[in-house]
Amino acid sequence: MEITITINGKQHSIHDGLSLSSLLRFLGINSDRVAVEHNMEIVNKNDFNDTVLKENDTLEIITFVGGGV
Amino acid sequence: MNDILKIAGREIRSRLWVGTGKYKDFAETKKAIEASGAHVVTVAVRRVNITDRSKEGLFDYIDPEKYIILPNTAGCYTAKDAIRTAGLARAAGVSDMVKLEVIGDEKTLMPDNEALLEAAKVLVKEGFIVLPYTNDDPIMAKKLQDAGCHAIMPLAAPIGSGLGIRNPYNIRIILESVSVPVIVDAGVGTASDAAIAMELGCHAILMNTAIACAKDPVKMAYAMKMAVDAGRLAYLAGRIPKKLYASASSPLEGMIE
Repeated sequence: MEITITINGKQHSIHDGLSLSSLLRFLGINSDRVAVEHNMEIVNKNDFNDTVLKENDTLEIITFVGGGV
Repeated sequence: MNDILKIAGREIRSRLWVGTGKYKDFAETKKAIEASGAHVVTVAVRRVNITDRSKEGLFDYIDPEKYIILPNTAGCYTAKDAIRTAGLARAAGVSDMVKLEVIGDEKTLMPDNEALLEAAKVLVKEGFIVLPYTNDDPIMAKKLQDAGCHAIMPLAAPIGSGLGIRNPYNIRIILESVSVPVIVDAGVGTASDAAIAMELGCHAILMNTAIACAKDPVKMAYAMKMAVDAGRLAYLAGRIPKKLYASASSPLEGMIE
Protein backbone atom coordinates (compact mmCIF):
# COMPACT_ATOMS: atom_id res chain seq x y z
CA MET A 1 0.00 0.00 0.00
CA GLU A 2 1.13 3.52 -0.71
CA ILE A 3 0.63 6.65 1.34
CA THR A 4 1.01 10.31 0.45
CA ILE A 5 3.34 12.53 2.43
CA THR A 6 4.72 16.02 1.86
CA ILE A 7 8.50 16.33 1.61
CA ASN A 8 9.97 19.82 1.37
CA GLY A 9 6.68 21.26 0.22
CA LYS A 10 5.86 18.65 -2.45
CA GLN A 11 3.61 15.61 -2.30
CA HIS A 12 5.16 12.18 -2.77
CA SER A 13 3.81 8.64 -2.69
CA ILE A 14 5.79 6.23 -0.55
CA HIS A 15 5.35 2.71 0.79
CA ASP A 16 3.32 2.47 3.95
CA GLY A 17 5.27 1.60 7.07
CA LEU A 18 8.54 3.16 5.92
CA SER A 19 10.80 4.58 8.62
CA LEU A 20 12.48 7.93 8.26
CA SER A 21 15.91 6.32 7.95
CA SER A 22 14.66 3.96 5.20
CA LEU A 23 13.17 6.91 3.33
CA LEU A 24 16.45 8.84 3.50
CA ARG A 25 18.32 5.78 2.25
CA PHE A 26 15.77 5.36 -0.57
CA LEU A 27 16.24 9.03 -1.54
CA GLY A 28 20.02 8.66 -1.48
CA ILE A 29 20.44 11.16 1.33
CA ASN A 30 23.32 10.72 3.76
CA SER A 31 21.79 11.39 7.16
CA ASP A 32 25.09 12.66 8.61
CA ARG A 33 24.62 16.29 7.66
CA VAL A 34 20.91 16.72 7.31
CA ALA A 35 18.22 17.56 9.82
CA VAL A 36 14.60 16.56 9.62
CA GLU A 37 11.42 18.11 10.87
CA HIS A 38 8.52 15.66 11.11
CA ASN A 39 5.15 17.39 11.39
CA MET A 40 6.94 20.55 12.57
CA GLU A 41 8.92 18.72 15.27
CA ILE A 42 12.68 18.28 14.92
CA VAL A 43 13.58 14.59 14.94
CA ASN A 44 16.62 13.56 16.93
CA LYS A 45 19.01 11.58 14.71
CA ASN A 46 18.85 8.64 17.11
CA ASP A 47 15.12 8.44 16.41
CA PHE A 48 15.34 8.27 12.59
CA ASN A 49 15.01 4.45 12.72
CA ASP A 50 11.96 4.49 14.96
CA THR A 51 10.08 7.29 13.20
CA VAL A 52 7.47 5.58 11.00
CA LEU A 53 5.82 7.74 8.37
CA LYS A 54 2.04 7.97 8.12
CA GLU A 55 -0.47 9.28 5.62
CA ASN A 56 -0.42 13.11 5.31
CA ASP A 57 2.79 13.49 7.30
CA THR A 58 4.92 16.51 6.51
CA LEU A 59 8.72 16.40 6.36
CA GLU A 60 11.27 19.14 6.00
CA ILE A 61 14.72 17.79 5.17
CA ILE A 62 17.43 20.42 5.32
CA THR A 63 21.14 20.60 4.79
CA PHE A 64 23.85 23.27 4.53
CA VAL A 65 24.52 25.21 1.35
CA GLY A 66 26.84 28.03 0.40
CA GLY A 67 25.75 31.22 2.03
CA GLY A 68 27.19 34.28 3.61
CA VAL A 69 26.07 37.25 5.40
CA MET B 1 52.22 36.42 19.93
CA ASN B 2 49.54 35.37 22.35
CA ASP B 3 46.48 37.02 20.85
CA ILE B 4 43.78 34.42 20.65
CA LEU B 5 40.13 35.16 20.03
CA LYS B 6 37.71 33.28 22.25
CA ILE B 7 33.96 32.99 21.80
CA ALA B 8 31.99 31.30 24.54
CA GLY B 9 35.30 29.88 25.79
CA ARG B 10 36.23 28.40 22.40
CA GLU B 11 39.48 29.31 20.75
CA ILE B 12 39.07 30.74 17.28
CA ARG B 13 42.23 30.54 15.19
CA SER B 14 41.46 33.36 12.75
CA ARG B 15 40.08 36.87 12.88
CA LEU B 16 38.89 36.67 9.31
CA TRP B 17 35.70 34.67 8.96
CA VAL B 18 34.22 33.95 5.57
CA GLY B 19 30.96 33.04 3.93
CA THR B 20 30.50 30.35 1.30
CA GLY B 21 27.94 31.98 -1.01
CA LYS B 22 28.17 33.58 -4.45
CA TYR B 23 31.23 31.64 -5.65
CA LYS B 24 31.49 30.31 -9.22
CA ASP B 25 31.72 26.72 -7.96
CA PHE B 26 32.75 24.67 -4.94
CA ALA B 27 36.35 24.34 -6.15
CA GLU B 28 36.73 28.12 -6.13
CA THR B 29 35.00 28.32 -2.72
CA LYS B 30 37.53 25.87 -1.31
CA LYS B 31 40.56 27.67 -2.77
CA ALA B 32 39.40 31.08 -1.57
CA ILE B 33 38.68 29.81 1.94
CA GLU B 34 42.10 28.21 2.12
CA ALA B 35 43.75 31.45 0.95
CA SER B 36 41.78 33.45 3.54
CA GLY B 37 43.12 31.36 6.40
CA ALA B 38 39.64 31.49 7.94
CA HIS B 39 38.85 29.12 10.79
CA VAL B 40 35.17 30.06 10.91
CA VAL B 41 33.03 29.46 7.84
CA THR B 42 29.41 30.47 7.61
CA VAL B 43 26.80 28.45 5.73
CA ALA B 44 23.09 28.72 5.00
CA VAL B 45 20.37 26.23 5.90
CA ARG B 46 18.19 25.10 2.98
CA ARG B 47 15.97 22.25 1.85
CA VAL B 48 17.71 19.19 0.42
CA ASN B 49 17.01 18.78 -3.29
CA ILE B 50 15.39 15.36 -3.11
CA THR B 51 14.76 14.91 -6.82
CA ASP B 52 18.33 15.54 -7.97
CA ARG B 53 20.83 13.81 -5.73
CA SER B 54 23.64 13.88 -8.29
CA LYS B 55 24.90 17.28 -7.20
CA GLU B 56 27.90 17.56 -4.94
CA GLY B 57 27.47 19.21 -1.59
CA LEU B 58 29.37 22.00 0.10
CA PHE B 59 30.84 19.56 2.62
CA ASP B 60 32.40 17.53 -0.18
CA TYR B 61 34.76 20.53 -0.43
CA ILE B 62 34.70 22.14 3.01
CA ASP B 63 35.67 19.66 5.70
CA PRO B 64 33.53 20.42 8.77
CA GLU B 65 36.16 18.76 10.95
CA LYS B 66 38.72 21.35 9.85
CA TYR B 67 36.58 24.47 10.24
CA ILE B 68 34.18 25.88 12.78
CA ILE B 69 30.91 25.83 10.89
CA LEU B 70 28.67 28.79 11.65
CA PRO B 71 25.17 28.21 10.27
CA ASN B 72 23.20 31.36 9.60
CA THR B 73 19.49 32.11 9.57
CA ALA B 74 19.77 34.22 6.43
CA GLY B 75 16.46 34.74 4.69
CA CYS B 76 14.42 34.59 7.88
CA TYR B 77 12.02 37.51 8.35
CA THR B 78 10.46 36.50 11.66
CA ALA B 79 11.79 35.41 15.05
CA LYS B 80 9.81 32.18 14.67
CA ASP B 81 11.48 31.27 11.34
CA ALA B 82 14.92 32.13 12.67
CA ILE B 83 14.41 29.99 15.79
CA ARG B 84 13.13 27.10 13.66
CA THR B 85 16.07 27.38 11.24
CA ALA B 86 18.59 27.53 14.09
CA GLY B 87 17.01 24.43 15.63
CA LEU B 88 17.32 22.50 12.38
CA ALA B 89 20.90 23.66 11.90
CA ARG B 90 21.87 22.37 15.33
CA ALA B 91 20.00 19.10 14.79
CA ALA B 92 22.10 18.47 11.66
CA GLY B 93 24.95 17.96 14.09
CA VAL B 94 27.80 20.12 12.89
CA SER B 95 27.53 23.11 15.19
CA ASP B 96 25.70 24.60 18.14
CA MET B 97 26.63 28.12 17.06
CA VAL B 98 24.27 30.29 15.08
CA LYS B 99 24.75 33.53 13.23
CA LEU B 100 21.34 34.86 14.04
CA GLU B 101 19.77 37.01 11.36
CA VAL B 102 16.23 38.30 11.34
CA ILE B 103 15.90 40.45 8.28
CA GLY B 104 13.48 43.36 8.30
CA ASP B 105 13.38 44.34 4.67
CA GLU B 106 14.27 42.75 1.34
CA LYS B 107 15.74 45.82 -0.24
CA THR B 108 18.12 46.88 2.52
CA LEU B 109 18.53 43.49 4.25
CA MET B 110 18.75 45.49 7.46
CA PRO B 111 18.02 43.57 10.64
CA ASP B 112 14.67 43.66 12.42
CA ASN B 113 16.19 44.31 15.83
CA GLU B 114 13.00 43.83 17.79
CA ALA B 115 12.52 40.32 16.37
CA LEU B 116 16.26 39.66 16.62
CA LEU B 117 16.29 40.31 20.36
CA GLU B 118 13.24 38.11 20.83
CA ALA B 119 14.86 35.23 18.90
CA ALA B 120 18.19 35.72 20.67
CA LYS B 121 16.58 35.36 24.10
CA VAL B 122 14.90 32.09 23.11
CA LEU B 123 18.02 30.60 21.51
CA VAL B 124 20.30 31.56 24.43
CA LYS B 125 17.85 29.82 26.75
CA GLU B 126 17.98 26.74 24.50
CA GLY B 127 21.75 26.59 24.87
CA PHE B 128 22.89 27.96 21.51
CA ILE B 129 26.03 30.04 21.07
CA VAL B 130 24.28 33.08 19.61
CA LEU B 131 26.04 35.60 17.37
CA PRO B 132 23.49 38.18 16.23
CA TYR B 133 23.76 40.25 13.06
CA THR B 134 22.64 43.73 14.05
CA ASN B 135 22.87 47.41 13.17
CA ASP B 136 25.84 49.50 14.25
CA ASP B 137 23.73 50.57 17.23
CA PRO B 138 25.44 50.60 20.64
CA ILE B 139 22.14 50.39 22.57
CA MET B 140 21.04 47.33 20.64
CA ALA B 141 24.49 45.77 21.06
CA LYS B 142 24.18 46.19 24.83
CA LYS B 143 20.68 44.69 24.86
CA LEU B 144 21.89 41.67 22.87
CA GLN B 145 24.80 41.19 25.24
CA ASP B 146 22.45 41.43 28.22
CA ALA B 147 20.25 38.79 26.55
CA GLY B 148 23.25 36.43 26.75
CA CYS B 149 24.60 36.63 23.20
CA HIS B 150 28.20 35.45 22.93
CA ALA B 151 29.38 38.08 20.43
CA ILE B 152 27.85 41.03 18.62
CA MET B 153 27.98 41.25 14.83
CA PRO B 154 27.25 44.80 13.72
CA LEU B 155 27.04 45.57 10.03
CA ALA B 156 29.55 48.04 8.63
CA ALA B 157 27.28 48.77 5.65
CA PRO B 158 24.39 46.90 3.97
CA ILE B 159 25.02 43.25 3.06
CA GLY B 160 26.85 42.91 -0.24
CA SER B 161 27.13 46.70 -0.68
CA GLY B 162 30.92 46.94 -0.35
CA LEU B 163 30.55 50.45 1.07
CA GLY B 164 33.07 49.89 3.85
CA ILE B 165 32.93 51.06 7.46
CA ARG B 166 30.14 53.67 7.21
CA ASN B 167 30.15 54.68 10.84
CA PRO B 168 33.47 53.99 12.56
CA TYR B 169 32.39 56.10 15.53
CA ASN B 170 29.40 53.88 16.27
CA ILE B 171 31.61 50.81 15.97
CA ARG B 172 33.97 52.39 18.51
CA ILE B 173 31.11 53.13 20.88
CA ILE B 174 29.90 49.52 20.52
CA LEU B 175 33.42 48.33 21.38
CA GLU B 176 33.29 50.44 24.54
CA SER B 177 29.72 49.38 25.41
CA VAL B 178 30.05 45.60 25.42
CA SER B 179 32.56 43.11 26.77
CA VAL B 180 31.78 40.25 24.36
CA PRO B 181 33.69 40.12 21.05
CA VAL B 182 32.53 42.49 18.32
CA ILE B 183 32.67 41.04 14.82
CA VAL B 184 31.98 43.27 11.86
CA ASP B 185 29.50 41.45 9.68
CA ALA B 186 28.75 42.74 6.18
CA GLY B 187 29.66 45.80 4.18
CA VAL B 188 33.41 45.37 3.66
CA GLY B 189 34.43 46.09 0.04
CA THR B 190 38.19 45.81 -0.08
CA ALA B 191 41.26 45.16 2.03
CA SER B 192 41.57 48.67 3.48
CA ASP B 193 38.00 48.42 4.86
CA ALA B 194 38.99 45.26 6.71
CA ALA B 195 42.12 46.92 8.08
CA ILE B 196 40.09 49.92 9.30
CA ALA B 197 37.64 47.69 11.16
CA MET B 198 40.48 45.84 12.85
CA GLU B 199 42.36 49.05 13.67
CA LEU B 200 39.24 50.26 15.48
CA GLY B 201 39.62 47.25 17.76
CA CYS B 202 37.03 44.89 16.32
CA HIS B 203 37.79 41.32 17.27
CA ALA B 204 37.08 39.76 13.88
CA ILE B 205 35.37 40.34 10.54
CA LEU B 206 32.96 38.16 8.62
CA MET B 207 32.73 38.74 4.90
CA ASN B 208 31.50 36.98 1.81
CA THR B 209 30.71 39.17 -1.21
CA ALA B 210 33.94 41.19 -1.10
CA ILE B 211 35.88 37.97 -1.66
CA ALA B 212 33.48 35.84 -3.69
CA CYS B 213 32.57 38.59 -6.18
CA ALA B 214 36.07 40.03 -6.62
CA LYS B 215 37.57 39.50 -10.08
CA ASP B 216 40.03 37.07 -8.51
CA PRO B 217 38.45 35.69 -5.34
CA VAL B 218 41.51 33.69 -4.27
CA LYS B 219 43.80 36.73 -4.48
CA MET B 220 41.25 38.88 -2.66
CA ALA B 221 40.91 36.25 0.07
CA TYR B 222 44.65 36.45 0.66
CA ALA B 223 44.57 40.26 0.57
CA MET B 224 41.81 40.22 3.20
CA LYS B 225 43.79 37.86 5.41
CA MET B 226 46.78 40.19 5.31
CA ALA B 227 44.60 43.26 5.89
CA VAL B 228 42.90 41.69 8.91
CA ASP B 229 46.24 40.61 10.36
CA ALA B 230 47.81 44.01 9.67
CA GLY B 231 44.84 45.87 11.15
CA ARG B 232 44.86 43.75 14.27
CA LEU B 233 48.60 44.20 14.72
CA ALA B 234 48.30 47.96 14.24
CA TYR B 235 45.53 48.07 16.84
CA LEU B 236 47.70 46.17 19.32
CA ALA B 237 50.73 48.31 18.48
CA GLY B 238 48.77 51.50 19.17
CA ARG B 239 48.69 54.15 16.48
CA ILE B 240 50.14 57.65 16.92
CA PRO B 241 47.68 60.45 17.55
CA LYS B 242 46.66 62.50 14.52
CA LYS B 243 48.20 65.98 14.48
CA LEU B 244 47.57 68.96 12.24
CA TYR B 245 51.20 70.06 11.83
CA ALA B 246 54.41 68.33 10.89
CA SER B 247 56.81 66.78 13.36
CA ALA B 248 60.27 66.12 11.91
CA SER B 249 61.55 62.56 11.97
CA SER B 250 65.18 63.50 11.34
CA PRO B 251 67.28 65.19 14.06
CA LEU B 252 67.54 68.97 13.84
CA GLU B 253 71.04 68.95 15.34
CA GLY B 254 74.17 68.41 13.25
CA MET B 255 72.89 70.00 10.07
CA ILE B 256 75.64 71.22 7.70
CA GLU B 257 76.08 74.93 7.57
